[in-house]
Amino acid sequence: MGLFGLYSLKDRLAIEINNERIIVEKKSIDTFCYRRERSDEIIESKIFTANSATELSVTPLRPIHLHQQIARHVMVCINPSFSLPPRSEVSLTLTVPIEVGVLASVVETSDHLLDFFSISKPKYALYGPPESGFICRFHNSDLNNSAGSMPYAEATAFVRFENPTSSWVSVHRIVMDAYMFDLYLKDDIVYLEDTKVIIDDEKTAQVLLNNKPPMPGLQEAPIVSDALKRFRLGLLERTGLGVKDRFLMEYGY
Amino acid sequence: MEWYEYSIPGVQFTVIQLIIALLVIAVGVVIGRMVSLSARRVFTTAMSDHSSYLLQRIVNYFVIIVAVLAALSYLHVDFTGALLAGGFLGIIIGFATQSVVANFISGFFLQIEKPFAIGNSIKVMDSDIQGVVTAINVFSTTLCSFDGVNTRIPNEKLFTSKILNYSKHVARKVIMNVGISYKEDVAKAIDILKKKLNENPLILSEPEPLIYLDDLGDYSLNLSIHIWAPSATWFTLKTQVVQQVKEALDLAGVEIPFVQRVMWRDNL
Repeated sequence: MGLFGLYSLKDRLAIEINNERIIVEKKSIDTFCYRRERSDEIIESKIFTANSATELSVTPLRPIHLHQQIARHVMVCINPSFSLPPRSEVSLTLTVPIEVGVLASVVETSDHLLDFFSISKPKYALYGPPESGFICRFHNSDLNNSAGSMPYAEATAFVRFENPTSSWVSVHRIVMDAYMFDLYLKDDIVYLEDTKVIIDDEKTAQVLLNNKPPMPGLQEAPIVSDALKRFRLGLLERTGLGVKDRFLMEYGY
Repeated sequence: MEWYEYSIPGVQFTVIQLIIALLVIAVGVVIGRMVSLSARRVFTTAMSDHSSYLLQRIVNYFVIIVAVLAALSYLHVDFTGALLAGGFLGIIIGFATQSVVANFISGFFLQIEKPFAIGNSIKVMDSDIQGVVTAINVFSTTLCSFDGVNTRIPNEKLFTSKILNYSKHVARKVIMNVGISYKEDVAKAIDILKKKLNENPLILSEPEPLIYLDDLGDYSLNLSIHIWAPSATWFTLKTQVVQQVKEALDLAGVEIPFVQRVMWRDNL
């Protein structure tokens, strides 16, 4: 059985994800104690109240909650980098970082994010110059890694690279706005939405998140406490600009 | 003169004219409020809250003044005397309020140039004041210094001063030096430091940390460490790095020498 999903609140509930141990204990009829431990050290502890309809949900999250004031973008460094011939395209499998969220969830109402954490240790990088660049969550991704993504730490991203220019290009990295990520789920394997990278010229490329699953049969992971994406999608639809989220990589790729 | 006619020196008007003039002023007040609110709404995204409020008030007063002048003009009020008196009064008020006006104008240009915003950490070089900007007002700007003291700086002073803005860029560099003993392996020490610094999530992976032998000092080989950090966490990182460097070198048994002098005595 997968670890992502809904759990009913009992007298005691324990979930172990890699080195993180989530424990929920009933304190009174409607009060629960949430605790997250790592190597017997308590990392997070809080009390919450719940009714009979409340469940605990463990779900993949976009990598925007840790160090929230620092970074909203993700930089994926591709190892090894690859070259793309003129007027060609290629589909590659990469990985992007994710976080794990624990939510108190009541059916058909809003969820409450109790806790979040990252299985992989976060690192950050600067994309562009300090005066106008972006601080990004840094992630190294193997190119077409046969072992797949690291469970609960990474999502698999199927990315189509298109080079409509008349010259060869070398691609070392892609940068995306993590607020715009849609994550999909099947058997605890997390997938990033359908993604396309279009090379504009020797320094500029566009990263398009197409707001649809990369393959059929996937379940969408919930977007937690963020109306921004829904608002933006609605705006894109209403204005007829197309249902795509676009990030312009203007400082090289 | 009929009952409905009135006069004050130099001006003669009827009740109807007076009512119309008052109506013009009333309409001016209403229009002023509507136009100023619209202006604030239009510029609310482009300007800070405070600037848009200032704009609203300026537009409001401007429309009201125009309405009052139009009403007086309708009543055939002669402005010659008022203008002459106003001219003298203006000169006197101008001298008296020179610094107030200078601060107001500087505040206006600070809003346009935007060398800092609310929440930015800045240092005013001329007066050696530093802190976080908490308010940008019409005549002055307020900082909360890093030791928690509220400081009011006149806008004119700010406008003519050199200002360091620590928050303007998304990333900042931390530079520190550490000395190791002459007997130590420099490459090994650099490797140890790189590994340790790489463990800190707040140190940016790109641009990569740069560590190099900077100087052959009197008592030590001086290593220079250059690392980049997000501006938002620069100070936190700066406080962590020195300790981490010391711990890493201690753990690896790399000696950080203190100043020592070898004295020789001639054996007479």
